[in-house]
Amino acid sequence: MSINKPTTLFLALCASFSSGPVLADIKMNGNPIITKFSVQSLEYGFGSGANTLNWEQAQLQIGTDLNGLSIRSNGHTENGKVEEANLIVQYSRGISAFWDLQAGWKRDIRPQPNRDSAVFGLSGTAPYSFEVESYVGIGRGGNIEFYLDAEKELLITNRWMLAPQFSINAFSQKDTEVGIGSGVNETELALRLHYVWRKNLLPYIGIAYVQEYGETADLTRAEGDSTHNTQWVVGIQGWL
Amino acid sequence: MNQPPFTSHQLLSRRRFVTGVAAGASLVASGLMTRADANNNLSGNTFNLTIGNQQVNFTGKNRIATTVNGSLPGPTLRWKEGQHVNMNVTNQLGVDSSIHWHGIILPEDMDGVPGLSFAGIRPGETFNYNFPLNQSGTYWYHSHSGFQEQTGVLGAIVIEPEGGEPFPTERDYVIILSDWSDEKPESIYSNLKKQSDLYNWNERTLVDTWKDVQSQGLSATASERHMWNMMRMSDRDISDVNGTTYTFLMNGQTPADRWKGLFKRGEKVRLRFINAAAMTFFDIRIPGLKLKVVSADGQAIEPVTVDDFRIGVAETYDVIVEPESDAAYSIFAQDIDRSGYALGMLTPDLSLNADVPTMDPRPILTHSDMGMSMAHAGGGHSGMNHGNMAGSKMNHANMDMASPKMNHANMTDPHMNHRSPAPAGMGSTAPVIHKSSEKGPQTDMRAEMPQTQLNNPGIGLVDNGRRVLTYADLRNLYPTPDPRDPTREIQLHLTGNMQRYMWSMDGMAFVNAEPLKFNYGERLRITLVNDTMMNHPVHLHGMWSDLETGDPKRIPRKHTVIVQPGRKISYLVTADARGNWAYHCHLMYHMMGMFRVVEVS
Repeated sequence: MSINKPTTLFLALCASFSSGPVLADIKMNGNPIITKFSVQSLEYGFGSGANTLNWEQAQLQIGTDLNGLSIRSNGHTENGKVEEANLIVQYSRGISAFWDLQAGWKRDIRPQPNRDSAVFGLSGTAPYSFEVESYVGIGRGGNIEFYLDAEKELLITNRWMLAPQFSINAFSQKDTEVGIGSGVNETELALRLHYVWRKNLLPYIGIAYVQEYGETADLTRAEGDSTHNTQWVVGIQGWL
Repeated sequence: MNQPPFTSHQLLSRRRFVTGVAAGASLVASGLMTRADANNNLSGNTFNLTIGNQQVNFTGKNRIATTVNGSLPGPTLRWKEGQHVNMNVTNQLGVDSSIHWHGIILPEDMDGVPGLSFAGIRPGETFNYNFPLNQSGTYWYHSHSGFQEQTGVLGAIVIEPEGGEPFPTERDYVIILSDWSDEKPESIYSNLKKQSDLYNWNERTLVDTWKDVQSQGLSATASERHMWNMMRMSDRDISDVNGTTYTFLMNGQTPADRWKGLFKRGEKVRLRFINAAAMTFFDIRIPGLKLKVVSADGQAIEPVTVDDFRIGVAETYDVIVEPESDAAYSIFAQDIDRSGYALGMLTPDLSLNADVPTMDPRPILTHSDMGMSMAHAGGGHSGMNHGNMAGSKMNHANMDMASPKMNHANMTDPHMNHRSPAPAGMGSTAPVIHKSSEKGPQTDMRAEMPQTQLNNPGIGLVDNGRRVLTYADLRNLYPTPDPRDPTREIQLHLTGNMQRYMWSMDGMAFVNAEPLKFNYGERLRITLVNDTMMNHPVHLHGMWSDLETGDPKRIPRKHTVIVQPGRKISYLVTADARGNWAYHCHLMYHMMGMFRVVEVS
C-alpha cells in the first residue's frame, strides 16, 4: 500500500465537496446547509522512532445548524506506510447548547484486516472550553471501544495559541490480529504552538508523546517496537 | 426650508463622480425623469428608482455592489409631509428585489417585505409604491431581499415637516453610515456558521488574564474567569462582523476619502445620522463640538446636548452643531468593537483637515451583560450603576429597582402576568419568565435578572469622561400621541446560540414560530428580554415603538429599539395598522431567525 493513497483519496473527496458554501437560496433561511472540511491536525512527526504523517479529525461535515452528516478519519503513516487509519461516517445532532450526539459506523482500515464497529459519539465544548470528541464503539464479537480526545486552546496573544491535547483509547477485549489489547491501549499527550495565520488556517509546531499500556504494549514489544514515543510535530490545523 | 447643501468636494470626489456618471447613464438608458441634484437628492412626487449591479472599489479591489440609481448610498429622497409619494422601483438585478421604507407608517402592501407585504420585484419588473406621508423627519430605505442591503441597496429619506422645522438650521446634511465588505455576504454568513468568532481578533488572551491577576489578584481573577469559563462564552464578543472585513463608509466614502461638509462659522448645521449598516453599531462624536440631539428615529425630541452617542443599526438621530471657529472638525463614528471607524469632516474650507481622534479602548463584557444580578456581577467591573446619572432628568425612573412604582410589585408572584400591566411610560413590572421553548441546543444563555437600564449608554461608553446620550434622555418634544395605558403585555425573549450562530425569539426561529397577534386598535406593551450577549436593534414595521423612558406624558416614538445584552426594555405599541408586519432584529445575519410576523386584526 502506498503512503498517501487513502489520505489523498480522502482529501480529494473532501475537496470536491467543499468547493464553497452551499447556499442556493438564502432568503430568510436562517438554517442553510453548510459544508465544512476541517482537520484538527495534519502533521509531520519526527523524533525517536520512525518519521510519521499523522492526521486527526480530518473531516467533511455537511449539515444544518443542528443536524449533520460527517465523514471523519484519524490515522498515521510510518516511514511512508499507513500503520493506522480509520474512517467514521456518522450522523450528528445538537442536543444542548454545546454538545452534539453522534451515531454512525467506523471502519478501521489499518492495520489489516478491516474491523467494523457501530459508534456512538458525544462531542462538544466542555466548561472551560475544552473541545471534546468521544465515542463508544461496538465492534466484532461485542468488543467495546472507548475513545476520548480533549483539547484546550489557550491564546497567548491573538496570533499565538498554545493547545494542549490529551487522548485515550481503550477496548474491552483483546484483538491480537490488529494489535489491540484489552483495557487502556494508548494515551497521547501533545502540546502544539499554533500561529493564527488566518482564523481558519493555523500552522504549528509541537511535541507529542504516545504511551501504550498493558496487553497492547505487550503486543508491540513482541513485534520489537517501542511502547512509547516522543515526537516533534510540524503541521496545520484549519478548515475550508 | 434649508437648501440642499452644496459642497464642491462632493462633486470633485472621484467616487461620487464615478457613481454620478453611472447614475446618469442608467437614468438616460432607462429614459426616466427623476430629478437629481448635485448631491444625489431626489425630490418631486414621482421617484424613479432602479436597483442594479454597479462596480465599486472601496478597498483597492473592484467589486460588484447592488445599488439604487447606480450610487452607494442611493439617492436621498426628499419628501414633504402631507404629500402622496409615488415610487417606480425597477429591478435590474438577476434576482428578486424589494425596497422597504424604514420607519414610514404606510399601508401593508407598500411596506416592501417580500413574502409578507408583497411578492417582491422580479428581475426586469417595476413595482409602483405609492402612499401618503403623515410624518416628517429622517428615515431611510433599503432592500428587504436576501443580503442586498449589505451590498448597497440603501439610501436616506428626509421628510420636510408641514409646519416647518421645529429646530431650523442654516445647513442640513445627511450622514448615512454603512459597512462594506469585499467578501460576499453569503460567505460572511457561512463563515459565521462555521466559526462564529472568525472576525474577532480581540479575543481574551493569557496576557490579558495575567494583567488581571496583577491588578486584581489571583482569587478575584479566578472567580471572575470561572463564570465565563463555565458559560463557555467570551467577554470580548462584541460584534460578530467588524472592521476585520468591513470598510466603514460615511455617505459612501471611506475614511481615506473622507466625506466633507462645508459650513460658515456661527451657522447651525443639522446632521441627519442614519445607521444603514448591516451589522455595525457606531459611536459618534465630533471632537470640539457639542451635539444637540433634536430627533430620534425621525421624531422630534426635547433637545439634549451630548458629546457622544451610540446609533444602533437602523436607528436615526438628528443632531445640530454650531461650530464657532473656522476650524475643521472630524465626524468620527467608531464601531462598537473599536475595530475601525467611518470618518467625515465639517469644514469651512476644503483645504483644511481635522485631526482624526483615536479610538476608545475595546469594550469588555461584564457579568451584568449576561443578565446576572448586580450582587453577582463582579463589583467594580460592572460599572453600570453610575452611567450618566448626573445631569439626567430621568434618574428617578431609569432603573426599575429605583422606581417607586416597582417597589411594591411582588417580583416572584407567578400570577403577576395576569394582573393588568403597569401604566404607560414606566416600563414593565411583569416577572421575567423563560418559556420552555427557550430550552434546547438553539440557546446558550438565559438572563437571570435582566435589568432595564435606560441610563446605561451601552458597553464601551460607560464612564468614558464624555456626556453620552442614553435612552433615558429621549423625551418626546410633543405630548404622548396615545396616552392610553397598555391593556396587555407581551414578553419576548431575544435568544441565540453564539457558537452555533443560531438566532431566535423565545428560542424559536422564524420558520417555526406562529405570528404574534395584535388586536386592532389596542394599546399594548412589548417587553424585550435579551438572553444573549449581543446588542440587538429590534425593528417593528408598520407601527411605532413608543419607548418607555420614564415620563408618561412625553413618550418618544421609535422604529428601532436597541436591547442591550442581558437586559430588558419595554415599549408601547398602538395596533392601528391592519395586516401582517415584519418584526425583527435588524442585524443582517441575525434576522433570519430573530424574526416574527405581527398580525394585526
